[in-house]
Amino acid sequence: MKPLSKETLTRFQSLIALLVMIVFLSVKADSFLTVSNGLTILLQISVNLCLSIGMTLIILTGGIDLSVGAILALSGAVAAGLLKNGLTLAWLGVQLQFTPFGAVLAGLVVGLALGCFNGTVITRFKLPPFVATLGMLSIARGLTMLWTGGFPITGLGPKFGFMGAGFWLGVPMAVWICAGLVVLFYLISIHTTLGRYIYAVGGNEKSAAYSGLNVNRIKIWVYTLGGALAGMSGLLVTARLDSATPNAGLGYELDSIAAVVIGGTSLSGGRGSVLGTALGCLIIGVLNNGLVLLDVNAFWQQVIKGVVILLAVIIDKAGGKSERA
Amino acid sequence: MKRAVSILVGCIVLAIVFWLFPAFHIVSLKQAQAEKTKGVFNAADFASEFWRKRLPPALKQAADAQTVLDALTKDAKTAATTYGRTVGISDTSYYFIRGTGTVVSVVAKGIGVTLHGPDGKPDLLIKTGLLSGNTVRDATGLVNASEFPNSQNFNDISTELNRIVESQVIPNLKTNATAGRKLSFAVCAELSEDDAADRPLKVIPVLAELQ
Repeated sequence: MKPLSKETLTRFQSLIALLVMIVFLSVKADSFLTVSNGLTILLQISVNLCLSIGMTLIILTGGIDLSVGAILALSGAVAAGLLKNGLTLAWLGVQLQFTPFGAVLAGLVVGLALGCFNGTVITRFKLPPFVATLGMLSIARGLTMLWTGGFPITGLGPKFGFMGAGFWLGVPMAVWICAGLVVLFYLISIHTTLGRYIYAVGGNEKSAAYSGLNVNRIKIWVYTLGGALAGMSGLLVTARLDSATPNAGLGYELDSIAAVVIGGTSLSGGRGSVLGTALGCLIIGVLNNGLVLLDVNAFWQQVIKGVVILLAVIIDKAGGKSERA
Repeated sequence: MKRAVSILVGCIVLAIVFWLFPAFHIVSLKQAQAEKTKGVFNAADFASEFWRKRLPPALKQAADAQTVLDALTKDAKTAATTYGRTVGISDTSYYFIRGTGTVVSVVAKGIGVTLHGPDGKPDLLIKTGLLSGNTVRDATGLVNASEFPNSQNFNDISTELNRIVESQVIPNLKTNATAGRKLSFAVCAELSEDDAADRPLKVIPVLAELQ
């Protein structure tokens, strides 16, 4: 039997890490390898996965988006607010009472619009994505507070809640949605022109521009998609909790970046995949779940997660070097 | 041409989707307001009805003031079980009492009333300031928490009952009470065992008729 080459190991490092963890936890914790625990893990990672798909596309272009958590909160709050209270147009003497479908659309549109704004600001004013999206983080958090008045919006009804808390064929709806998004965006990134352009921009922006690509437009598209996916995550969180809280999604951007990095996407862009990110999310989910099952102190859990992220980046760097060599 | 056709097809598809799954319904503001208040608990209405319909017949069932005060002085625990009401696992007991007395003092905090005659020390201090808490609601024993789907509604009743006392009972007392005037009253009190011997007993009026 031929031994695994270094290249193969590098390519499948995330998958190998996940399998090692699964085997270890199966031996150590009796309740780990059960269907219900598996579904719990999938449900828990669904929001981060949805966010991370968009983050992957953004990081693939060499950018970053720190505002996804805040966009998540605003999208969820807008959808919940419209569903619960409608939209009053006093000057017309009418109120628009939103259906669950309308509320979902509104939440997505909010995410999409803020993402588009991010992309436009970054490309139009040549701002570093870190700074531009940091600004958006603050703007979106403030808008969420203004929209909700600082209070949660609750009691959104079973129809809206189904997408976050419902089940289909015994599997949580949120898991189906995220699985669908992973497949969709994997296909977009690998089999469409936009996908190839994203890799081209991230690999070498100047070369991409010289070869005639409209780099700015591609970046705007990517940030717009990232925003829409953040909006989708907001809808999932809101539907699952039957409540939109103004502080939803605090720190989610960091979890999302961690999942992308652990999944093997290079922070400098051009290298990585949506499937890798899905694995990254699974690794974080399994790690969280395993640490709880093994009764590890909550403070140590933070430390261990940090170490895993560092290790992932170090291995990724080493892999990148060996590939270039 | 191809682009125009794509846009047209897209618009038609969107129109069909929104026709099948409308995003919102347009209603007049009046109708929206009516729908919003329909079936929603209104604490002010509840308290008003309570005050007009439930409270007057219950006044007769209030314990005699002198009897309660004597019992409290003798043994707070027995007084609480005989004349008081306790909510949940609280140590506090609520008393609904009535009687007649004489105004002996009018101070900023309230009106001192004695049950024994014009020269006596005040046995009760009828509060005339701003009210808070659940004393009126819980002392009368006429409102049951299990009637309400959530605790917020139940708490709102207290706020509204206190508002009624502040607006309908206290102003008349404040304006007309002078030392020496006789008074018929029904009051509510909230007491812990440690406060049982304190005199004057601080009470909230639900009925105060000066003679």
